[in-house]
Amino acid sequence: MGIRCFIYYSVFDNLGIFERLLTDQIKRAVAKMNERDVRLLFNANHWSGAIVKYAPKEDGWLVELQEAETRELQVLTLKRGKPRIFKTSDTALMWCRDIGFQKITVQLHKLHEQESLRDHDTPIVLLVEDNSSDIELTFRAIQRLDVNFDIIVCRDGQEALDFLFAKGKYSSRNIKELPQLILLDINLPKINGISVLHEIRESDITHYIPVVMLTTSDEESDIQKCYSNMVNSYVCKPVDYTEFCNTLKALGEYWLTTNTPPPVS
Amino acid sequence: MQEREAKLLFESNDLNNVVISASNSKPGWTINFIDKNQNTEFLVSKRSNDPRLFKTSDAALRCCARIGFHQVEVKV
Repeated sequence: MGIRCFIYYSVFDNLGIFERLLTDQIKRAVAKMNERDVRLLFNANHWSGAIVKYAPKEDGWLVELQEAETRELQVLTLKRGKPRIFKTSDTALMWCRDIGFQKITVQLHKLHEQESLRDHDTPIVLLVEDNSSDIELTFRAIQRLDVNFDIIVCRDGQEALDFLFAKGKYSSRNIKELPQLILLDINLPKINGISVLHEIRESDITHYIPVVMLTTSDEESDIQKCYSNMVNSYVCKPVDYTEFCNTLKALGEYWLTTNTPPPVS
Repeated sequence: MQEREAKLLFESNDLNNVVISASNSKPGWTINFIDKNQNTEFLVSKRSNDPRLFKTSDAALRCCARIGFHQVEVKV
């Protein structure tokens, strides 16, 4: 993450040279792909396919590209690194066609009404995170687990509290349906993660839910505050993508399979 | 096959896959179902037996979602 690769591809380069330049190490470092990189790599037969997915929070569609060699998925991003969101699936599909893809997979999961699709016995993981790239990475890492669960994403502290206590736009939600795990960032818009944690521990309803702080902050004061508010675990986000995936996998495996959740009151 | 029939077949696990393709003859999109015996069949309109033509791929995708599919292949 955070590593940006600039690939200079002059008119004198041929595809062989270009391929050699793009070593495995560089490929792994690029977690996100902007349009220019995608085009260059398509010409080098780097991609095996494209997946168009509905992004409910953005109310739009994003494109993921599958690497032919590793089968890993890369999100199409804008130049600044944010995922590129298409307003309609038509525009996303046309973009894929213009690149050269002929067969595209479209995932419709989120087009269905979330509530009607949800199996109410499926555990929920609440991810409170404002960074789109981190959300995507967390999704990808955690979905590799052999556990069936739903991930709910809240983009700020207020939204997380509204979800947990069935307020605001979540007022129609069943308040007894609590997440089995909360992955909470510290630096969040509106209400910060530590205040959210405090509210969670103050309430009888949410008091026992396992909360894991997943943050970039390694400041001692933050760690101290979180443990004072009875956080279950404090994890600094690794900068390296593979390490980040492994950490999330380990976290998910422990909290969703090994750990016994608190009894439902 | 009409939408209602497709829904029933999907619910009974008789449909394996669905492919949305850009129509060759007219501007628009058609839906093709692949059943468990690998037979293919077009989604047809209520009024005729001609393949149902959707103006946008969004509309075709929404139709597939209504039937119950979670994943669709699109040929552009």
